[in-house]
Order: sequence, then C-alpha cells, then structure tokens
Amino acid sequence: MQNVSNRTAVGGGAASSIVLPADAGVWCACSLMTAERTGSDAKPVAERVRGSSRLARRLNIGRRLIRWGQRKSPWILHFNTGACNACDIEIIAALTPRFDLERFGVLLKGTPRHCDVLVCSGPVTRQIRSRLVRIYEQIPEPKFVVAVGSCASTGGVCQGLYNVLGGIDRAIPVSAYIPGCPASPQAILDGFVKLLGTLKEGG
Amino acid sequence: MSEAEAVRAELEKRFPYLAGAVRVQRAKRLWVEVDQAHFAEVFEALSKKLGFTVLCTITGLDLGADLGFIYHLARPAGLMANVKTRAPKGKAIRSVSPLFPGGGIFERELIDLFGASVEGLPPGARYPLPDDWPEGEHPLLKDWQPTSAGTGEKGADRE
Repeated sequence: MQNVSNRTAVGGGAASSIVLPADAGVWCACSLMTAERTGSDAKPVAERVRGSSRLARRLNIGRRLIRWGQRKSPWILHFNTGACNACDIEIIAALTPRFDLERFGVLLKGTPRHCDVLVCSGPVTRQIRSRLVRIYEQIPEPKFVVAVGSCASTGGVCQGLYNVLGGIDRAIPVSAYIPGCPASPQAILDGFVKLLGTLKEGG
Repeated sequence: MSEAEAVRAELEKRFPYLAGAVRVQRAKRLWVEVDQAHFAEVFEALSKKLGFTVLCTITGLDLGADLGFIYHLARPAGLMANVKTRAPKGKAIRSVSPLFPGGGIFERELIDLFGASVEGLPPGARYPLPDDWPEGEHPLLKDWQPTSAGTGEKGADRE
C-alpha cells in the first residue's frame, strides 16, 4: 500500500517520508493519520494548487486525503528574521486561547522538520539570510511561508537600512503576506484562514 | 554644591587645562571635552579616582576630517560624565579595555561602523556587521552610500 523512501534534507540527516501511490483507494484510519503528517508531494506548490483537472482530482482520492490532512492540521514554525518582537508577540497572542489559532488545527512546533508552514516576522537582515534559507530547505515539501507584518512583507520601516535586504521574499518564496505594524492577531488569523482556503481550493 | 559641581571642581583642580572645558548640563549630567593628548589621564582619573565605575557606552561621530568619540561614564548612583574627544580619521586611539574590559565591544563597533582604528584591543572577531560585509565599508560615515555595499537600496525589492 505504501512506499517508504528516504528523503535527504539539506543540512544533514535523512527525513523518512511516505510516498503514496496515486491510485491508493482506501486506507485504514491508522495509516491515514500517518499519511496526513508525513505525506510528501514533490510537485511545486503552484502546480499542486491549480494543476490537475477536476476528473483527475476525483480519481485521486489519496492525494485529496493528504490535502485534507494538511488543511486540517498545518504545523507551523515561528522564525524571527530580524523583527522588533512586536509581531512575535502578536503571533503568540494569535496562537494562545484568546484568539486561538489552534482551533484551525494550527500547532506551533520546535523544528523545521516537523512543520508545514514557516511563519516569519521581520525584515531579512543580511546576517540572517543564509540561516533563513537553511531552515526553509529543511522543511519537507509541500511547504508554505507566511510573512507576518509590514517588515516581513516589504521591508517596512527597515527598508533602506544598510544591514537589511528587504522583505522575506528577497530570500525565499512567500505564500501569504499579512500586513500590519505589528500585524494584529485578527489579521494573522485572517491570513491563515485564507492560506488554508487556498489549500482547500487546490484540494 | 551639587554632586556634578563637586566633580567639576575636582577635575579643574587636578587638570588645570580643563578650565572651561567641563560643563554641568543639569544635576546629574556632566560634559567634559578633552583633546586626545590628555584623554587617557582624565579618563583614568574619572574611572579610578572619582568613582565613575560604569562605562555605559561609547558614541561615535563623523565630524568631517575628524572622528568624535563620547565616552559615557557613570557612577552607580546615577551621575553621568560624558567625555568628548576627537581624533583625525585614520589616527589610532588607545583602547579603554585595560580599564573596562567590556568596553572592547563598543570599540569594535567603532571600528566596523566608523572605520576607527583602536590600539590595544585584545584579539577577537569583528563586530557587529554581517559576516559577508565587504572590507572598507563603514555605513555610519556621512559620505557612505547605501548601494556601495550592495544592500539597503530603498525599494529595491519592489519595482
């Protein structure tokens, strides 16, 4: 039913991932739970979201189940690329019970190898750039990047500084931009729901 | 006589050339202007004899042909003595790290950001500019151009 293959992530170590056959029909609940966390899809994001025709999607139940899992429980990694800490405080506020991103299944993780979404705050400083790229490369596919706050989106007030490159998209591709200085928890919630909606459309 | 006035009187007594160069800005703020030749002895007297045991930070200034330095000294109770001095660009100043080991980090900042040269620093890595920063670029100098180091172009990430 499943092929288990090793995929080497940049930065050393091998992450085990389960590649599901395209025609996989029915699984037991147990293997589904494994698949939704570790299921890998090497296709680029754009293709995955817009790609296949409706008929193909219908046939491809296995993939749809994986999407369902990603949509229902995106695990995130929070990374400060040079922020003033205001956006970080708002991200924590969004995660904790008052605003409660967790009701959408969002869980904060401590390592890039376990996460689906990289949540970045702050402009990319010249010093952090290589670290950011290294962390991004350690995240298993499919991966998404959310830029939280004005600085992460465009460089914001830090634009033009001698030690700053600009927004997150100067270093890695970004899926969602959340404006605000700092971005309010409501805006972060909204951004996440929109990102999850994109995944749903691509279902 | 306030605490700051007392320090001014003491400084002028010890170093006659400081007459008129010490200014009491307000109750706990003292400014001392001293040239490079006399800086070391005034600085040592303040830190060793007059109880200014804290070096808060060092400010660097680009004054055209010269570089300015302001050493912000303080007594633990809150009286601050700001010692101003200046040296021509390219001329080395003496490190204060024998008196304040932690002051070395401020002097490394002066070296990176202003291109100052400092004698007597213990060996160590440069600080605080990024690792891939090009040699000879000192971003806090007035005539430094943002694009000359390849970063900081305003709006460069937006067409």
